[in-house]
Amino acid sequence: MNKQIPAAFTILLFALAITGYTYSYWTETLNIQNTLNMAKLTIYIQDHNTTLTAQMSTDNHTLELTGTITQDQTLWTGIIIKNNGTTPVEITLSIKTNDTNIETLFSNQTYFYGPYLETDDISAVWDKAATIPPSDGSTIPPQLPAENRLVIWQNITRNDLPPAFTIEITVTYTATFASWTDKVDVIYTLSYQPP
Amino acid sequence: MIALTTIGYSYACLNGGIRINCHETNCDIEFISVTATDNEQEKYVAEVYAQKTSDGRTINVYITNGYPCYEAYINYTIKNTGNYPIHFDNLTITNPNPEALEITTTNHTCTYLQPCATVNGSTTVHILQEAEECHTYTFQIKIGVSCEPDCYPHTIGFWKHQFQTALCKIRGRQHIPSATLEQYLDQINTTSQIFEFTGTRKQKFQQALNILDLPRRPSMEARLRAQLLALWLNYVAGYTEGYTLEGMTAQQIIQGSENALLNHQTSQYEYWKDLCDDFNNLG
Repeated sequence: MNKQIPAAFTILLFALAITGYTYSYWTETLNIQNTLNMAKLTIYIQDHNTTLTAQMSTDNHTLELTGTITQDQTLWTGIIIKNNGTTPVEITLSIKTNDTNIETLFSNQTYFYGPYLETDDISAVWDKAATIPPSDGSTIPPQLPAENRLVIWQNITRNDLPPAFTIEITVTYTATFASWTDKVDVIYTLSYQPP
Repeated sequence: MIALTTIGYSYACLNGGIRINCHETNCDIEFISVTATDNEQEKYVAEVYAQKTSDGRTINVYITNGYPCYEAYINYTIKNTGNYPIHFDNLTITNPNPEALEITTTNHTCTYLQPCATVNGSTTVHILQEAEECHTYTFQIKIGVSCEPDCYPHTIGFWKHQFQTALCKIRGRQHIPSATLEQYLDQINTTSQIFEFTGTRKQKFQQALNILDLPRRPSMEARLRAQLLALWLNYVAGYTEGYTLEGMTAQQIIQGSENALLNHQTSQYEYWKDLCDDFNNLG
């Protein structure tokens, strides 16, 4: 009993001291917590329609077409570009060759159709088109919203009769949103051997 | 132990400015509202959503489909829901990805928020060019606040007690050292147009006590001077910081009181006496 009294007194003193400190100084923190998920920009070649020999890359970003082209022949190639990202994109087109000496012997035209949702019927401008190119195409690519598709028909025509050649023509479709970009390439390897 | 505690508490209430009917200290603060907007005007690609928690201590902000150059604005209101002024102590922004996000926010540091008052603030999130696709970024803002119930105006009784114990007229605990008390009186000397304390420390203390210790049936002028001196002491001691009464700071009430005395506006004595009295009893 004699030992319990000082112990109880000591405990009581500590409790009073802690209470006093707590009473005299209150602090708190207000928080603003943010979670930010970034968007995604990606396009790919969903389908193609051509008479040339076609080879698609595993990531569906490059379509290689191989074949021959004779004088005044026009080759039509169709592709479908899908915007698989979460933002709308602007599509721009650029063409370059590996032989500037003979590239002037070729001409091209490109027509754009869409945009179309995945559930839209595009057969009238694609595999069941009455004419190539299908009617009502635009020469200016439209904005492509997320999860939408763009149908593109492009021709390449050889206008003159050069000697034997092999030319590589790269058509690049670039999708842009803010400072982000993605692209797909259609690479034509065309050759001619005089008889 | 309980009996001794009760005796001590009662004695403190009688002499130290703790009144029998003093109210319970309650410090509390919370967000009471939040809204979120962004800089998109023509196309709507990203979304921002903000929500405060039920205890009002946290705002959670969610931005989806963000992209470079996107800006989100989070506007909030903070309210002091306690009965003591709250001081904004510090602001901390933790942004692990400064190359991707630029965060700016209102800095309330070193300001006070009165009981029941509100203050608005805003946070801007700006996504930079280096932000990467498909990434998840997080950041946190912490606003540190404190509430010091000890730092409040003291009554005329408290100050009278200080000078009485300093002069050894009564036995008791002197909360403020004599050297500090003298500094307070010297500060009042330099600024007040009413009070002047001269001579030795002991003489100054007695002069102050003569003002504070009212005679029986004092005049309204004497009561005003006593409350004014107590308010002056609270002011120079820093106990009035963050407090206002009827929209007036302590300094404004001091100035009004001194003007009334200087111009002998006897009809105003009671008005200013009551203001000084009420301010001294804000604690």
